[in-house]
Amino acid sequence: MRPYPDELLRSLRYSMREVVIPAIEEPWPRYVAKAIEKLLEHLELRALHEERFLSEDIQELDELFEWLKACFTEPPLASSVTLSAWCRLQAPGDRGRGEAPRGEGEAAPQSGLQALNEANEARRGHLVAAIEAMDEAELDNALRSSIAQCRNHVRAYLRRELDRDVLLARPTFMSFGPPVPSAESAEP
Amino acid sequence: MAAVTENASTTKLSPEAVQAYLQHVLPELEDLAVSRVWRNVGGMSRETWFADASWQLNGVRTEGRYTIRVDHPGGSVIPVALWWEYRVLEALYGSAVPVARPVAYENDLSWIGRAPFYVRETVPGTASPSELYAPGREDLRRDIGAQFARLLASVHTFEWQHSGLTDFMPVPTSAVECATLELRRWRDHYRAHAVDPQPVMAELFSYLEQHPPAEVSQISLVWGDVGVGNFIFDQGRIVALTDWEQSHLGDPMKDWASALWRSVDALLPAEELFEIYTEACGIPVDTDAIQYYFAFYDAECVSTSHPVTSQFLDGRTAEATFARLALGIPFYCQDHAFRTLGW
Repeated sequence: MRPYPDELLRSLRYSMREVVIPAIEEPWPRYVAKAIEKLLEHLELRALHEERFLSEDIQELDELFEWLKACFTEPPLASSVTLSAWCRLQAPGDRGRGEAPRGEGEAAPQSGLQALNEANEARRGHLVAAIEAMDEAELDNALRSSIAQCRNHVRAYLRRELDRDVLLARPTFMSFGPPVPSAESAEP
Repeated sequence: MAAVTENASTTKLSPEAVQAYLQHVLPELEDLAVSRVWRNVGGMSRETWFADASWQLNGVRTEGRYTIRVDHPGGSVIPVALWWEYRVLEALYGSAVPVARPVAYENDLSWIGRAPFYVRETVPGTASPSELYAPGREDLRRDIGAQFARLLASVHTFEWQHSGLTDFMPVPTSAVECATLELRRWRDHYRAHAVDPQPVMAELFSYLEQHPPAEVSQISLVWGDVGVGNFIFDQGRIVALTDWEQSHLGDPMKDWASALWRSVDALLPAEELFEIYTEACGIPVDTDAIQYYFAFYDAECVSTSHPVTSQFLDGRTAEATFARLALGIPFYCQDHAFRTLGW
């Protein structure tokens, strides 16, 4: 159906920015309207990139889990009970790429994007479990340097994840500093 | 008592209800009338409203403004009760740290349809960053920057031991506890309100727990949420420090991290600010500790944004401003924290 959603979003944002916001004098409604305009810009970016970013992220997480599992099962980290326990957890990717784990009675995902979001969330939860396992394993001084290498690998992934997230969320950022092109002032 | 025209789930405050309450707590102001109640823009932790009032004083009609602070209709988004900031204002009012005069704290829902809330006098002036950053105001910025550094010195030399603050603020017993006491509070708050798993936050909290500064020059009252936008200035002078909801006892360097996060070095270069500060209070500036607290402050802000997100997701609010904060704050802060730590 035309116009496409991204075309409509562009139109809505234009109308908010050029017509609606300049006509609002009350501070709070003006602040709300500017928030709406920023959210519309964010939605435009999501429409454009979200599916691809989620797929990339899922693939990177599956690769990261394989890498971590290999590290955690080699000496000296193989001696850690908590890391071994994490390795025994079923990684979300093991259920089939792109397929989200669902609880009993939980509805099936309604769209490709929803399925990707659920799959991504399950993997992020699995990575949180890995980080917490490393926290515990790190209490053993003998494992610290090996854990530090794993953390560097995890942080490199997290940096890439953040770069993707930031690209989508940037329109909603606020700044308290002097006006800059990429961030809106905290004021109305 | 005036009839309440809005129920607790709405966000508007009735001028009639506010007028009745102000007259109740300020009986010395004869024939008090409230002409307008309006909401301040910005802010995430709580709602701030202004009430324009007038009254008879010695036969003359006098005008003034009061500030009302109240939690969001969906509840508090920070792990600090509203009374905390009111009691801090009570402790500070009349000291070398300029704050608005606290007027009344109220738990009774029937007055304005929202509770708890508190009222303070509104200090005339502005907190607007754009007033400072307007072209041609370089001298004002430098002057305000220098005043800010001296006032931060006043906060950090405030004698909290005899102020009543220790009745409710935990006192760190070691340098490490200056960070870890607060960190525990924010981490617990984060875990209680997280809406989805965030490995970035797991890694950030892990780092913060393992690397608290081992030394602090002294335990001070920490303002908490410091910087441009959180002080009021008028005619070239800073007249009040605001936003005390994240205050606690701890390492004064945490305030410098927050202040720089909120761009005080756009007023005056950081080195000059530090020099003025140390000259005023004798506390040396520890830039390593500031780096640590940059990331800490980011984690604090993300933790605050999660209840905002959950209030939006579970339908307690549908406000677009909440949706924007729920996106803007966490990703900005996570990115900032990672860059600060070189990740």
